[in-house]
Amino acid sequence: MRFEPDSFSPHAFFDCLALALRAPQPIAPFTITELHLFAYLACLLSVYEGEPVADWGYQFALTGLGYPFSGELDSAMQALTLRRHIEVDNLESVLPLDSAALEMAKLEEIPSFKQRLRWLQTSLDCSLAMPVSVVKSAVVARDDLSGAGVGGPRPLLSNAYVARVHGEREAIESALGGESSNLLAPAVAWLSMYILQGRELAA
Amino acid sequence: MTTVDQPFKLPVIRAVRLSDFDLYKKQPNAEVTIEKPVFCLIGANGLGKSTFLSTLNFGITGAIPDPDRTFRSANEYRVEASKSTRAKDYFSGRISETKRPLATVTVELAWESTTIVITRYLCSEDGACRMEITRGKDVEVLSTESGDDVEKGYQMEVLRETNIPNFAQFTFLFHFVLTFDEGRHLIMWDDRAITTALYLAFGSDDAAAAEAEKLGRSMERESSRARNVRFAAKAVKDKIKQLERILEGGESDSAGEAELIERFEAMTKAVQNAANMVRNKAAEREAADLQWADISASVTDKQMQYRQLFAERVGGVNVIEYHPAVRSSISQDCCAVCQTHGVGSGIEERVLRSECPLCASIITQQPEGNQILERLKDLDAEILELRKELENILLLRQRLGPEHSSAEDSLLAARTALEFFLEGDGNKLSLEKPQGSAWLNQEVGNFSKEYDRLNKQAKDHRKKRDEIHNELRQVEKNLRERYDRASETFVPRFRQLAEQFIGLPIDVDIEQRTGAEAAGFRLKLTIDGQLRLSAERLSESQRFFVDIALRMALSESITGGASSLLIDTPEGSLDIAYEARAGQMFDTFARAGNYILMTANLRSSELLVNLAHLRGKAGMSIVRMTEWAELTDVQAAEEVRLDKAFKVISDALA
Repeated sequence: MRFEPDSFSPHAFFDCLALALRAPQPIAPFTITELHLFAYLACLLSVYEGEPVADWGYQFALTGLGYPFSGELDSAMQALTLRRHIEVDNLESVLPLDSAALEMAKLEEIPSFKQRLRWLQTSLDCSLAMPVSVVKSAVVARDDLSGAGVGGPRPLLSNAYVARVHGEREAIESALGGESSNLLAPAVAWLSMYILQGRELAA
Repeated sequence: MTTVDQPFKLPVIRAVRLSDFDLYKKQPNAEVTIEKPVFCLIGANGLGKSTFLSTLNFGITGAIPDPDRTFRSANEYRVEASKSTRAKDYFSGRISETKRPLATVTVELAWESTTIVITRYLCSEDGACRMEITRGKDVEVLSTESGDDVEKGYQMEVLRETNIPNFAQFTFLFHFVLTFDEGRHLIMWDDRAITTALYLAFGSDDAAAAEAEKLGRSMERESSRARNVRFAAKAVKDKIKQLERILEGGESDSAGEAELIERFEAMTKAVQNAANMVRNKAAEREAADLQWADISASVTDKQMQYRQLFAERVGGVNVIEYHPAVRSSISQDCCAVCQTHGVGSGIEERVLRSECPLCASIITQQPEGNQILERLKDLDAEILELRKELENILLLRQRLGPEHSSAEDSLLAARTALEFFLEGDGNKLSLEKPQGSAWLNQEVGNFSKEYDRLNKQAKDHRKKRDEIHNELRQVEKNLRERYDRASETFVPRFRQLAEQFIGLPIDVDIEQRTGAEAAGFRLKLTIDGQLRLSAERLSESQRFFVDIALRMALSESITGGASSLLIDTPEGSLDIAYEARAGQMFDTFARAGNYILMTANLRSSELLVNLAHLRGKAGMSIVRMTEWAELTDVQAAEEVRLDKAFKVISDALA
């Protein structure tokens, strides 16, 4: 297999490896869909913290099934499979193999990868703080995903939505009593807010 | 009310801490503690020594010393020097855009039983943001975060501790008396500034300086008003004469036209100045845009390299081994393409030889994984550094945008004013014509009345000026008497210090400025029996060091305790013969319990060696700036030579 540099994302390669390797025990292994979902949530958290969307390194789209999906993440998953760092079983579960931890340790030496771990880890911690199905509901409840299954595939993270995320951050920080170095608490509050909004809309 | 018998108590500077001050790239959080009477910051030219002293002064007074300072009154100077735009301009280019909102200076000031630690933002409107006052065991903290008005609280505490009546005078003392900086302002030859300093040192009470300044300014105002009114009266008289000439024979109004031309020229000049400002701001924006484009291109290039390298690492030769067809053929010992059995070991051998099992091509060996990883790390660090630069440029562009718009608004306003003028008064530039003798006679009558009114006004202003002058003379007389008494200690002290440097008999006296419109004092300096009426009659180093001696003597007269002088690379064109003498003078001042905070470069090194000999380790400390800032080649060369000088100074201290 050969990789075209233009379509290859090192960040997606790292994220895929990190998520597969660090999926918390109670819910490990992730399915392919879950891996895309938690990568997208990590991306949202970086945007929540004021990072430019463009700096995430790869893009997401909304699939016709209403889940976030990244082509670059999918390519990265194939590359990791070929390098025998992960394998995908018949149930579509993403399993880390023996060489995965060593590769991860090497990549973690690169500062910009290490920086991403904060968002990836918080995304994974959210799966412990609330059931995966609830995380899914929260993310699906967001405006960007609410057209799931209706409008067909389309890119995620529009400028208007990013501006809204920044506004929501201020509201959440104010409710939690100011900026905190711990991202999990505001992340959970943020997701909860979407779940509540989703319920209100459904009612 | 305080009298000179209860002098002011000036603080001693104990410590200076900088935060996010990235002019000092290697040490943006530089910190110095001043424990010994002489503290010297030493380094090559251009490292930011003068900036350090100005920042320290800003920390203490909330105002950046103006290098071209002119002095009219302490209040006027304070208003001008403490404008937040001045600090912002001063630190522009010294502090990076990202650090501008964060950079602070903290100064610890000590009195006998009180310590104040004041922290200020350098580029923010907020000014003082935190103050800690310690009195014995009591510690009180004010901070803007808690909603306190720290600036107000600080100024009140400083005035309470120093006994100085107002903060403008405190600022004056630090900027004009206690600081000899790169502006090389000479207080000896600045009559207004020395008058205020004399009042502070010898005035009959603590309000004398302010009172004398107030009276002096009122007198000046009345004089100026009288002059203006007289000028207006003269213009009216000229107008009358012209009209009379027109009545006699006919003549155009050339004086009125001259005035209009003058206004026209002033407005044209204003338009030109505004246009220049717009051009400058546009050029700055353009430069920032170009820099932005250049760095963006570099980021894209590095990112591309990074992706290629990473892809190379991921997609290298060893991947063949894991290709599903190859893996299946080896593990099943059966070709996955043609289903031939017993070919597994052959395929495995070809893979080990880096040969494609399908087309027999030799796969190029990729560099060792670790080498690629190291290169990836380097590229990653380069990208992060470039991103920081981009962030800085972005902030610069954000700042320049409104500044450019504001300059454009000013230009529009200046152009509109000019157009308005040209459509109105300016239209008369060559249109004023006689309109008949009856009208002219009436005009002459009107102008004559106006002339009488203006004459009376001028007389009233002169009378008022003379009244104020008399009042001021009384205040000045009091000062003169106080000075005469105090000069028994002040003058000998000045002589001692100045003669130590100059090596000739020296004397100083104050002289009251005379004349209907003159006020205040000037100093009369005599060297070796010869009166020196202007600074030009002294060599550069004589001017500098006599002025420093004067500041030393004045500061001792002003304060009841120790005083601290801030001296920036004082040597000027110091003759080698004078270097030992300069060191002696500094030592004498320090021995009296005072403090000197000075900066020095290579040219000051001989002065420092002599001073170090006299002071010894217990009396002097030296801090090198080499570790603070990144050096250019020229600075690095100077630092190499400073190394040798530094060793000599250190040996002299030991």
